[in-house]
Amino acid sequence: MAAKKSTKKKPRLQKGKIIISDKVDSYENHPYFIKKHEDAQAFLKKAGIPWDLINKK
Amino acid sequence: VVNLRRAVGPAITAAMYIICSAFLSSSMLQLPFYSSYATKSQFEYEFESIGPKGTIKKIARFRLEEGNVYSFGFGDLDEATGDVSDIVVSNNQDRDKVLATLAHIIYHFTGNMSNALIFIQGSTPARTRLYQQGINKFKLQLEPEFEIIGYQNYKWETFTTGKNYEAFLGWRKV
Repeated sequence: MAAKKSTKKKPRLQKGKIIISDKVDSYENHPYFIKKHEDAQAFLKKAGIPWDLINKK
Repeated sequence: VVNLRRAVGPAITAAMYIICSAFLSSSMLQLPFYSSYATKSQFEYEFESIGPKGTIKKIARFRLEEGNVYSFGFGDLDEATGDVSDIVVSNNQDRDKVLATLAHIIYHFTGNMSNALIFIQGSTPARTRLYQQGINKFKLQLEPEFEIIGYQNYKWETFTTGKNYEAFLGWRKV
């Protein structure tokens, strides 16, 4: 017998409240985020980006 | 009849709006989260964690790494020193609310940049595990909207609960 497909609705992510404000500072050149950027570059260079897997989905 | 329709029309519209809103909100799981503020570019976000330890400013930002891959960075801002860190344990008893807020920020960003791939990695393995716990916790909410893959044992694979990953890539489903 074929498995019965669930008709139960999956809960969805509620849209968040995001307020655009010119009071938010820029942290682009903050040492913490520069370090994050360098770490991300190093990791992505090592691990690569799995385009095959991404395109398959 | 025309006057009656004019008088009753807006009331019916309002009632329908309330019924529809109630239906929509009951069909979506209500997750507590903080409101966030974003720059006009919507690459940078701020919000405040409020709890027993006081108010802690949290910063999140996206950075283009290559192609359409954006890294996601997040940390606590020490307003006295200007330092940002994701290593400190703030113990503000709102971990899930903070994680839900981060999910909303990513949801918002990828709503504007629909083809963006978001790369997430904590500063330490412990922080990466915390992000993983967040993905696990909100998996049901994230699944209809996002594809998530993890890096483990030198390869990327579909995110599976219970496995420890070194990093994550996520993107909005079309």
